[in-house]
Amino acid sequence: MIEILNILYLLVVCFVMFSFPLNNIYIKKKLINYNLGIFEIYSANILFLLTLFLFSSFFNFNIIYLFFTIFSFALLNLFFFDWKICKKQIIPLIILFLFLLSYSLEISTYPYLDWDASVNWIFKTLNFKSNYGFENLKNVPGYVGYPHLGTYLWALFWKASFIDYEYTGRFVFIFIYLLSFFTLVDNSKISTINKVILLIVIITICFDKILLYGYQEPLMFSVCIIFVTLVEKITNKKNLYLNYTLLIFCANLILWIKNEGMLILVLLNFFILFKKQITNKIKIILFSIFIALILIKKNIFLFYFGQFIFGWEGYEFIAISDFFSFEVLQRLPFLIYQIAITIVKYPIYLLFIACILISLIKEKNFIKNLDFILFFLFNISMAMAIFYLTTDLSWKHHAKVGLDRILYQTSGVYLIFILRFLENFIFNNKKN
Amino acid sequence: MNLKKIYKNKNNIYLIIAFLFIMHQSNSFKNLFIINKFDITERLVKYSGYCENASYGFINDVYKENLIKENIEILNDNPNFTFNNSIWFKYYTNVEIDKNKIILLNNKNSIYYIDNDTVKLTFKKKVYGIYKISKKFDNCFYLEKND
Repeated sequence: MIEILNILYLLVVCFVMFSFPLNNIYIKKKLINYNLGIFEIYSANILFLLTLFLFSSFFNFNIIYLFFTIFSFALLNLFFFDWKICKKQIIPLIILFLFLLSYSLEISTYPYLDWDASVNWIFKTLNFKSNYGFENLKNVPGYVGYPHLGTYLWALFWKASFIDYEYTGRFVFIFIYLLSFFTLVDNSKISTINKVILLIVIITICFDKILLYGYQEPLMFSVCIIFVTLVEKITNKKNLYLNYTLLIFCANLILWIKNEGMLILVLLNFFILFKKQITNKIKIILFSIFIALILIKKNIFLFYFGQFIFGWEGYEFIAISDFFSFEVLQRLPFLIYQIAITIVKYPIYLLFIACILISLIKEKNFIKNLDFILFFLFNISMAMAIFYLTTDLSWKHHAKVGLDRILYQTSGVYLIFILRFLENFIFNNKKN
Repeated sequence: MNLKKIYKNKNNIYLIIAFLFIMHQSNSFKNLFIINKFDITERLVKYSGYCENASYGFINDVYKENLIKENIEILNDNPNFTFNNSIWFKYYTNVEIDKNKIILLNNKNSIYYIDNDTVKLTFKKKVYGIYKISKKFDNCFYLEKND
């Protein structure tokens, strides 16, 4: 019973903590231009707070003080909370809570850490939980070159828990993961009941055990969704400073969640590149900032640990002359087979392919969806290239255990297209 | 009267259906029962093994019985768990590993008996030396350096 109460307490903490700072009647008046729904506000708060956590992870101090400080501010903020916006979305909020509760119960029942989590991520978490900073990561087991943001969050919520077990720190991953789905449908023009059905279907389809076993992929999955949602929200209106600021925060977080975040960020730039509402000047500024963020991350790793790894430890690229050698080309059939397995494993991909084909046939407009098509093609190519271009002789093993996870974390992006497709072709048709 | 009200409001019916679906699809009712019936240690032992796989149960008992507050070497002979999988259960950050104490899990051929409670430990071709068996359960050993 105590454990169940602890779960409920941590879920409430998530709801309260991430309602701060933006859901405030005074701040909201200034953000009237942005037309933000409750879930979009929560997503924006997540980006703000995760950026703050990333910054604080470089210092050695008791993270429980950080938790109490932010939680106290969040509690105070409840007095200025815009409850009206919650009332409008009460049913989706209940659905979110139910999913959150059911997945948290699943984690508590099976407090199990899978391979990468038990040999890498957990030690970073333990480091932060013991109030050591980023610099000390070189003294704990696991790959020092892996980014640490998710583990800091894990440690923070573990520390906040009344029960001292690591799994309590992982509920926040579920919260952020689930919230990204709700952010997707927040501003869609479909009825509440359709929204709820859609949410239940897509959350059920997207569910994977990866979510429960301490991996960082769910976090990356969510941040990718938030990134594209932010780009989609950019309109011709002027002075959308908040959107651009959040976009920069989001890009930075992507870099600090997983190593392949760098590649994912490059791919996500397609959405900015093809967004007509963003002027070329702003595009150049954004790309320059993203490059600067990558360089900052690289230099931080070089400064603290003297290394900056890409992929797994010991990852090296094959020589350019070997790109099309027979020995390397032989990898292709296996990698294509693995991709096919992954596409079948994650129905979002199948759904996306079906939606894009129907959309192309109906609209006969290739350019309109070019951003998603290019993202899909490059995403698949990137996932294959990671294993195709390595000198590591155990590439096959790495592809078997890693390729599906690489594709899972970007799969959320396709939901945006699927949702747009459903809105245009199914829900709107019904209305007509 | 209340039931009638609930029935009249369509949203409530949808919510009840959604509640049942969500709780059912992730076995939440069963999970609630398991959490109430088994404490966290029992659940960890069930999924990580007592003296199999990552062997949480044996490691936990050794630490509890010997009031250990430091890192000790943990070796796992199970080919799927040879890396650090078992260390994190009782890991103390920035505390040195006491090489005089070793937990050997899922032993296959790593120890050679010198007498009833003394063994020579050789793990992955590395000779660790002579150790006294302080605790043994099945193929799991808690060994202390024999001075």
